[in-house]
Amino acid sequence: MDTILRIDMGAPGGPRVVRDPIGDYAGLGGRGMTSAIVSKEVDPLCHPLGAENKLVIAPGLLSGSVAAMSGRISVGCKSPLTGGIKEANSGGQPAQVLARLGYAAIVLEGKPRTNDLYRIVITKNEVIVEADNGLKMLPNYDLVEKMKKKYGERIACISIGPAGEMKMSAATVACTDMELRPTRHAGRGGTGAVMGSKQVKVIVLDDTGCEMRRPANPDRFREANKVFVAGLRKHPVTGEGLPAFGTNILANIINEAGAYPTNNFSRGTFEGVSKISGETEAELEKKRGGNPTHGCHRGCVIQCSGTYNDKKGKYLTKQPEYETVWANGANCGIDDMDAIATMDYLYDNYGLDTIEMGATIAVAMEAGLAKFGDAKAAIKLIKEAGTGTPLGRVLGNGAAVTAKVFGIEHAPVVKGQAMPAYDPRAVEGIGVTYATSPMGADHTAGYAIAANILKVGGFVDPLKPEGQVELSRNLQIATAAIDSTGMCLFIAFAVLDQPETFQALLDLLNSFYGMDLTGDDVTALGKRILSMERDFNTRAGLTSQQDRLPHYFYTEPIAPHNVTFQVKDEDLDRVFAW
Amino acid sequence: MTDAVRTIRVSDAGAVARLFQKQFLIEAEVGQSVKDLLTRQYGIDGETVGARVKTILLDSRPVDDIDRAIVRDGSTLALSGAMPGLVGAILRAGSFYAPMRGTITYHADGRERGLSGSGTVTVKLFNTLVDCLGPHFLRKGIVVPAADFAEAALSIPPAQIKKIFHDLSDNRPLSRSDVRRFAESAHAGGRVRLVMPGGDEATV
Repeated sequence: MDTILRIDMGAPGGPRVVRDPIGDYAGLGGRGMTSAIVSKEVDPLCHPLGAENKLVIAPGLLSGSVAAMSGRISVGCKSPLTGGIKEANSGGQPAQVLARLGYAAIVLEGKPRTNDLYRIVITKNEVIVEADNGLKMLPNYDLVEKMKKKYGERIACISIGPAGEMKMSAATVACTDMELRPTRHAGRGGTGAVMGSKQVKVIVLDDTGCEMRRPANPDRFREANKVFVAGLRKHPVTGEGLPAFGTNILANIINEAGAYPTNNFSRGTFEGVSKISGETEAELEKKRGGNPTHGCHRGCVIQCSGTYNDKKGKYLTKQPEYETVWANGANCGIDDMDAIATMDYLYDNYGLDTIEMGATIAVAMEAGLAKFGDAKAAIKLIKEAGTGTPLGRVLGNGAAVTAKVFGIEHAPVVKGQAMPAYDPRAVEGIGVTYATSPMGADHTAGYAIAANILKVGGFVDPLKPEGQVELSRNLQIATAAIDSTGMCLFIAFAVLDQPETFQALLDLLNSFYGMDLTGDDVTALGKRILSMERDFNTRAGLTSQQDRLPHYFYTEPIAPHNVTFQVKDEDLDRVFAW
Repeated sequence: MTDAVRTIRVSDAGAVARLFQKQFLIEAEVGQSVKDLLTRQYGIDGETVGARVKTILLDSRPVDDIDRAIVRDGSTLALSGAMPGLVGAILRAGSFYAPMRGTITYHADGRERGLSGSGTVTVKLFNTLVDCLGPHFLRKGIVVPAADFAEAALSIPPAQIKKIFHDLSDNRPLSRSDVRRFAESAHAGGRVRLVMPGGDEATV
C-alpha cells in the first residue's frame, strides 16, 4: 500500500491516471491520509464543486490485512456543506479491497471538460477510466447490479446515486457491503457532490490475484490480533450490546436521559421510542427472518450491523442505524419502524445522508410542508430530493438551506451541517464536540476533545500539560490511533477500558509495520491531524464564530430537564489549546 | 398502585420481554438506595449489578453512585448495560466524563432520607438487562397497562398463550379471547399484574 493513485479527470485528451509513490504521506491512513492530502493540496478558497477541489479515498493502515476491525474507508475533500475540511467514514468492503490492490489512496482531481459520466475500474493489473453515460441517474442498487453483471461478484463498489450526480450537499459516497449491496456510506458533508463534480459515477475494485497484506512480524501480529479480538469480545459494549442490538441500542437510554431530540429538537423525549428502539428493531428483524448480528465488512468481530426484512420476509434494507432511526423517527415525530426502514432504503439508493435529510425533513415539517409524525409525507419529500424536483433540490442541500428558504429559525446546524442524535443542551459534552469539531456538527470526529473543559476529572488547568489526567490522555491516544489507522471507531471504548486491548492495538500497528510506536507517538499524530484540519478551516475563512451552536440552544430550554447550553465561548475556544 | 384488574402467572419471561423496555410498576420500600432496591429488595446479587448495570437513570438523571441515589414514591428508574459512543460513555455510572452531562446528573438533596414505607416505582429495563434482570422483577410481580400486556400476548401463537399465561384470579389458562378483552379494557385504564413462578403469586 505504498502507492497513491491520482486520476486527473480534467486532463487534456481525457482522464489521466498517475501512480505516485506515497512519499511524504507514508505512515498515514484513513482520516490521517485524507486530511493530510486535502490540507496540503487543496486551495482552501476553492469552490468545493470546482476543479481545484480533490476527493481523496483512503483505506486504513491495517486494511487489507487480517487485523480485525480494519475495514473502514475515509473519504475527504473540501465540503460543499460546511465550506471547511471534511472526512466522512464508511464501512463495507472497499477499504479491504483497495488496500490489497496496493493503494494508500485514490485522489480524484480536476474536472472533465465534457458532460460525460465516468466509470473507473481498478484491478491488479490496470486502471481503466471510461465514459459510461448509460449509468446516468441510476440509483445505487441498480448501478451495483449492473456492475455485478459486468464484472462478477468479487468486486467492491464505491459510487454515487442520483443525489451525487445532482451535486446536492447532502449527497453521500456509497460503499458496498459483504453482500455487495450499497448500504454503507461516507455520509456527512456532501462528499457525494464532490464525486459528482468530478463526474465519476462508480469506482469498481477487483482484487482478484491479490494477496492479503502481510505483516513485518507475522508471529507478533497474530498474537496481537488474538488479544485484540479477545478484548473486543469480552467488553460489554462490543461483545454484547452492539452485536445484539446494533447502534440503535442507544435510543431508549438517550430518550430516558431527555437528550433524544424530538420534533426538530423541540424537546428531549419521544413518546413513541419503544416502537423504534433497538430492542424492538432486533425483535422485528429476528421475527421476519432478518439478522440483527451482522458485520459490515470482513474481519468485523463486533457485528453491529444487521438486515431488515419487510412484513413478508423479503429484504428491505440494512438494519437502520441509531442516527437514521432517530433523524427520521423521533426528530420527525415518526414511530413507524417499517416506514423508517423504507426511508433508509431510499437514502441508500439515492445516495443521501440520513442524518442531514432527517434533520431537513424535520425543518420542512416545522415549515408546514408536512405534519410531524406523517411518515407518508416524509417519504414523499425524500423522493422529491432523490428525483431532483425543484423542492427536492432545496431539501437535498440540507437543513440550513431548507430553513433559509422557508424562513425557519430552528435549523440545528453547526458550520452548516445538521446535528446528530443527541441534544447538546442535555449533554453539554457533545455540544462541545458539535461546536468545535473541524467537521461541523459531528458526533464521531470529536473524541479527541481535550478534557480541560467542564472540569472533567476535577479541575484541570488547561494550560498545564501535566494537569491532564491519564484517562483523558488515553482517550486522545485511542481515538487518534483509530482516526489515523482507519479502524472502526467502535473499538474505542473497549480499548479505553481494557489496557491489554489498548496495548494490542499498538502491537498490531507496530508488528505490521515493524515500528515501535508508543502511545505518545500516536497522540502526537492525532493532534497533528486536528491541527492540519483547523489550519485548513482557518485558511478557508472559518473563524471561532463558527465554533458555536445556533443561538437558540443558548436561550431555549429543552424539556424534560429545562436546560440550555451553558458552555462559555472562551471555554470552547480553549478546546484546541494544547 | 397495585390495584390491578387481574393477576396473571407467566411461565416464560421472554414472552413479556418487550414490556420491560416500555415501563412497569413495582412496589418498593422508598427512602432506600437504588442498590438496596436491586439487591436486598429484589434479590439481584451485587456482583451482577456491578458487572452488568452500567447506566442508571433515576427520574431521567444519570446516577453515578447507586448507594447514594435514593428512590422515592413515584420515581422512575431506568437501567441499561454499557452504551457505545461518546455519549454512551458520558452517561455511564461513575464515568470519567460525567461532568460533560453535569447539568442533568442526579444529586441527592437530603430530603430523600426522611422517606420511608412502601411506594410505587416505575422501572424500565433496556437491552442486555431485559433478559438479565427481568425475571427478578417478574418473580416479585410487576404491573403493566392491560393494553401493553395484550399487545405482547397477542404476538405469541395462540397455542402458546394458554401454555404461558395462567389467570390466577380465575385459576385457568388464559385464552386468546381473554387477551383481547384485556385490550378492550385498556380504554378504562385497566392494568394487569404479572408474576412468574418462584415469586409472590398472591392476588392483589
